[in-house]
Amino acid sequence: MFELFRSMMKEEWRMHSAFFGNRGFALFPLVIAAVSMLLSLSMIIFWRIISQTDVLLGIHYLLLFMGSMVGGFGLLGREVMNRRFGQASLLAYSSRTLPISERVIFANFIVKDVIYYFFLYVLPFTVGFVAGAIIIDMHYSFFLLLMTLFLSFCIGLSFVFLLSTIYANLGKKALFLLVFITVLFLVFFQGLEFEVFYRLPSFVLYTEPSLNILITCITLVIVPSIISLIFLKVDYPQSQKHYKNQFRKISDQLNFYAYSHFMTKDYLDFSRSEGGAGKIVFSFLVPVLLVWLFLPQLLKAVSGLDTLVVFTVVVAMMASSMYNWLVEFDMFSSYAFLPLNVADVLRSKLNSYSLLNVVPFLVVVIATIYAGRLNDIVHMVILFIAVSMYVVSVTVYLTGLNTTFSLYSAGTFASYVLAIGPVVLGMIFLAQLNFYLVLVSVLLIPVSLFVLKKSFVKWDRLEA
Amino acid sequence: MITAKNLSKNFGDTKAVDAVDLEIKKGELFGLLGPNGSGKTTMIKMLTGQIKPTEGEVSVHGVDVLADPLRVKELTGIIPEQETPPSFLTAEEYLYFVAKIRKLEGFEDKCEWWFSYLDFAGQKDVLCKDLSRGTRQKLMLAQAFLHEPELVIIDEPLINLDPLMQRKVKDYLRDYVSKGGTVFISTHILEIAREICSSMGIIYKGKLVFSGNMDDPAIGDRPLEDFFLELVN
Repeated sequence: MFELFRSMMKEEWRMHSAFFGNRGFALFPLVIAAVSMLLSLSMIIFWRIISQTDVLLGIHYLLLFMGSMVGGFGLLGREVMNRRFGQASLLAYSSRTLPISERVIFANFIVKDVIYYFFLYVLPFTVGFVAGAIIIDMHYSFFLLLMTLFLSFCIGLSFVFLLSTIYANLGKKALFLLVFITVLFLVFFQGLEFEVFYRLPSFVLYTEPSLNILITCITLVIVPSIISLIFLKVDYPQSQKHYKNQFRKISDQLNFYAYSHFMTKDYLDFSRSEGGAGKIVFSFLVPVLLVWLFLPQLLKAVSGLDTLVVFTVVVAMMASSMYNWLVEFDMFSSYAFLPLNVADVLRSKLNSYSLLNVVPFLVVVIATIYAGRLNDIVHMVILFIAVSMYVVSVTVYLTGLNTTFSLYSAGTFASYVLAIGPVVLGMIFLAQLNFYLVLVSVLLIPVSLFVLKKSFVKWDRLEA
Repeated sequence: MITAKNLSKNFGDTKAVDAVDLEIKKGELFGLLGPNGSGKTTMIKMLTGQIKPTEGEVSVHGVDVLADPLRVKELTGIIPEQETPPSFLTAEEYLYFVAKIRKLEGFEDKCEWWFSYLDFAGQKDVLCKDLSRGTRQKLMLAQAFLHEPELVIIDEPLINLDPLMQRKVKDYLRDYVSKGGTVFISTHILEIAREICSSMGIIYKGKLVFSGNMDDPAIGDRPLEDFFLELVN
């Protein structure tokens, strides 16, 4: 039993360090601590509009989200793993070949995730956050915060395990129905008041510690995990779907692009993978809407900043995450036996990226019109194109076709932040001096093209 | 068709391929035999420009692989060790995708022929990720021959195929060679080499310990297995 747990820990570490290098990955907790420290320090700017309680609430939900992401990837990320490693053969999937029951494997898997990610995420996050708070003379109880954030993480993790068990036993429709009923229940009984979010037990435990709440938190971690273990089913429902050949039709429609065939493949990957077009809504449009709603409030704390400029820059940066979607399922070894360079695949991804950028482009145009600043539309469009191009060129240079995993490397992440942060802040600062200075951003376009040219050479050399 | 001189590849301190000299002429069906981990796949990757050798020279179709790997991949059909067609394309769409990369015209009938010949027409509208390993191997065979290359290099050609399909593939390879094509296969299954190859090489711990025709006097009347074991022991 302990041997399996130990092997799973080793496996998790080696899998990560294989991607990022031992040192790069070992430094990752420091990056997490630095980011949470910055978050904590930023409260000195935002304290007038966000209360200390809301910040605490936010970080508890952040850890809840991290826990659910960890659980989700561990259980449902097999598709991504298969593309990266060939047929994935992690210990978690090994009950068919080893004389160990699925329940024992799963129990070890949960304990491994809890301990591994406590040291990788929760502990460094708490240390960074509390250290930052001390600098700006805010004081938190370190051990209580560490415990409540850890409980948030575990609640997220165990609920995703529960959802995956429901999915495995009853299928996707039952899962959606359950989520739908839960939302209806909340609307009916709680009226979807924002107050409901303050009832997260782990958060309540920090603000009003009591034995009852502690027991509630532990119950929320243990009960879903035990239910998942009792009804454990490793084989997820899979149906062999049949699709009409859409390749020629779409490829012909995109014929004006040099890599129309790759773009067709990207489109089909995108539309047929989990989430489909919903990814644009949930991963891009919903966050953009939230930024649009909250940005004016946030900027009240910093006088003189042009909301539309900041919004355009933020949208351009968020747009660059679309490149990540495009490379998620691709690796060069799938093409290495065909007459292609890595640069060809990267160029094709940039073709697709430019097409997907129509969505954020329209968001910026609509936002500019909605803000009653039609006269500034050219400036906003140039700013958007320049920043989006620059951010994606840096992403391509640093991560190539391995964006998802490479940004976990401390060195790569630090380079990414250093290459993008000053430029983006510089643009916002220039706009504050004189609005017409946003046109300076046009200079980012030749810089981006140069960075891309270097990227093609770099990745052709490294992947060959 | 293929010439390798002093070809070597090191991975750290490990010599995966060690100073291999090899010559394969047009019209041969050459089998590279060797135990697991002997260097067969590394050899194929170097011949096809997928990895760079540490030392040595290699030319395919008279093209220097190091100088112009793309030209070699244009002229050659290649089936890698792991079948990894993109997940969310159907089998038919994958062949269309490869045809577009290879800039082919009028390939639809050829696709249909392969679906019919390897008996997977019923699976052509299924996503590659949902195909069985055997069907993926059939798909990879189809993509390698789609542009009718003069040379095809295959890492383990019959892997995951049932006996019926193995027979069909062996028949196809023989027919292909009889029409002037050249085939390079790697395998650790000696019967395949005995049955279809006109010449072979045996690689062991990265060194080419034998290269010659199947009727080479060194082999004599012995079973190929005995000859192989003698060399690798």
